[in-house]
Amino acid sequence: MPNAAPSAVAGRGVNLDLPNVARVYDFLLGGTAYWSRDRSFGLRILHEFPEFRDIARAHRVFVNRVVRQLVRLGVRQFLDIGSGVLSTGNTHQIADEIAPCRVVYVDNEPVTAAQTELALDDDGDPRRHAVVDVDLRDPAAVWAGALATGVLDPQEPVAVLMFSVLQFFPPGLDDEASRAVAHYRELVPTGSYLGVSHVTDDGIPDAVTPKLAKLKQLCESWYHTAFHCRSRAAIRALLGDFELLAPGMVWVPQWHPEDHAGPLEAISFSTPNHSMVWAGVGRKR
Amino acid sequence: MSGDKSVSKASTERRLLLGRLLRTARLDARLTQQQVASALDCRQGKINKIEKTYVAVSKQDLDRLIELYGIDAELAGELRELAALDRTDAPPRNRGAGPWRGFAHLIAHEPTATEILCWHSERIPGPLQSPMYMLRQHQPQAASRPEVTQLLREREARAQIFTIENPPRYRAILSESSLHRMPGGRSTELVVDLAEHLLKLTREHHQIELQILTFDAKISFVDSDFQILRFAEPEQNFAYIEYPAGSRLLERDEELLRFGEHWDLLNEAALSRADSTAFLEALAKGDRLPGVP
Repeated sequence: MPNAAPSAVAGRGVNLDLPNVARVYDFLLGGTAYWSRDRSFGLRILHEFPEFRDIARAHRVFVNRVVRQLVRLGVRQFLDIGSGVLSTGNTHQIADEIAPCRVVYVDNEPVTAAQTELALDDDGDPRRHAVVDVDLRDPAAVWAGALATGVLDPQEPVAVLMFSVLQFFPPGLDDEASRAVAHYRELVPTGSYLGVSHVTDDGIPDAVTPKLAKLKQLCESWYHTAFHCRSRAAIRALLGDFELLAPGMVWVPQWHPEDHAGPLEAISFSTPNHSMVWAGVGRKR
Repeated sequence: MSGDKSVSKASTERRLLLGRLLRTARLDARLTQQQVASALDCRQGKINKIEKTYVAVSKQDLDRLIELYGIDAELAGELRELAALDRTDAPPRNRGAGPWRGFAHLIAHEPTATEILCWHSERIPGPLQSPMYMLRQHQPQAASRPEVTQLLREREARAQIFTIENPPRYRAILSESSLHRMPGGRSTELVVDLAEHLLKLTREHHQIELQILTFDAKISFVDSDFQILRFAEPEQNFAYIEYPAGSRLLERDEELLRFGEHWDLLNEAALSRADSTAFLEALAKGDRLPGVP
C-alpha cells in the first residue's frame, strides 16, 4: 500500500487520532507534510519491513515516469485519484516540467485534501490545478466535481491516475472498486488514458510474504484499515479494453526504467517483484 | 477568530504611515487633538483613533484636516491616495465593535511589530501552534475539507510573522504546563508533535526565542497570559490579553511598564534558550512523559 488512499474511509470525516496513510507515504518519501504520529507509524513499518521505504520510493518514481510519458504522448490534463498529500514529485510539478498541464487531485480525506489545497496555494496555478474531495467509488460525482473546478476540458483526452489506491477496496466478483474503474473508463473521452498500480501477493518473492502479512496487520491495528492484494490478472482487468501501453502490465521498476528524470533516485531491487506492485497504463480506443 | 491570509505587511504599513503623517501634520500645526476635535465638531477620541489607525478617516474629515493643518498640495495628494488605498485594499479594520476587536488588532499589527514579548501559561499561541494542535483545538468545527482548509490557512497567515521580511523579534516564555495542557487531552503523540514543531520553528527562524518556565522555576508567582507588541514608533506599543468574554488592549505607558516588568521577571526565572531547547528535545523524544498514554 505505498500510496495514499484515505478515500477508503469515506464518511469518517476528520480523525486526528490515527496516522494518515497519505502522510505516512510522505514520510517514507522524505517529504515535509507528515506529522509526528505519521512518522511513528512509518518508523514502525520500517522496523518490521525495512525495504518498505524503497518500495514506496520505487512506486513514486514509477508514478513520475507515467506522468512524463503521458505528457510526451500529448496528454495535457490529469485526474489524479487518491492523490494524498503533495509530497516529493507531484503530478502537476512533474507534468509542468515538460509542458503546462491541468491537474485535478482527488482525495476524500478532509485534512489530506485541505493540505493539498494549501500546498497549491503556494505552488499551484488556480486556473490549472484544483482539489476535489469526493469518494472515488462515486465516479459520476468525482467527474462532475472535477469538471466543476473548470480545470478540465471534458472534450479533451484526460489521464486518469489510480495509483496504489484501489487496494483499500476488497476484491471480488464485480466488486465496487472494479465497477467504479469501469465507470471512469466510460466517462472519459476517446484517446484518454488510465493508469493503475496495485499491491499484490501474486508473484512476489517468498521472503517478502511474511513481511506483507505483517504490514497488513500493522495497518489494521494502527490505522484500522485493511488493504487487499489483487492478482496480476485482476489488476490487468481493471484496465478493461483499453490498449496497454508498452511495456504492458509489469512490476513498477520495469515500467520505462530508462527514464531517470525525476526528483527521486531510481531504486534497484535484486528482482523487480520485490516492489510488490503491478502496474500498467492503457489508452481508450 | 480571524486571520486572513491577505493580512499583508505592506497594507498595514501604509495604514500606519497615514496615521503617522496626520499626527505629524497636527503637531507641526501646533494643535492638540482636543483643538482639532472642536474644529471638526467631534470627540477627541475620534482624532486619536484616526491617528492610531483604529478607524478609517472619511474623505470629508480628511479634507477638513488638510485645510486645518495647512498641508501643502503634494502631501495632501499623498494623504488622499493613502486613505483611498486603505479603504479599498487593507487589513480588516480592527477597532470596530465586539469583544474580539483586540484580537483583530493583534493580528493586524503582529507583522509590523519590531518585538513581540509573550507569556503563555496553559495554551500555545496561534503562530507557534502545530497544525495538529490547531486542528484539535478546533476539532468540533473542523469537520470538512473547506473548514480544515480555512483553519490551516488562518494558521499559516499567523505564522507568516516568522517568514516576512524584517520579521519581529519573537520572544515567548512558555510555561511547562503549556506543553502538557493539550487540546482534547494529553497524549504522547500530541506533546511530541508540538515539541518537534517548536524545535523546527526555532531552527528555521533565528528571531524566535523560546524559553520554558519550568515547574521548578524560582518565581514567587506568575500572572495570566499576555503579549507585548513593540513598534518602531513607541506610541503604537500595546499589550494584549484575553479572557473568556473577549480581549483587551492596554496602551498606557504605566500599564506597559508593568507588563514589561512582569515579563522580565518571568524571563529571569525561565530556562535559558539553550536549556529550553534541550528541554524541548527531551520532550520530543517522549521523555518527561511518564504514564501518559
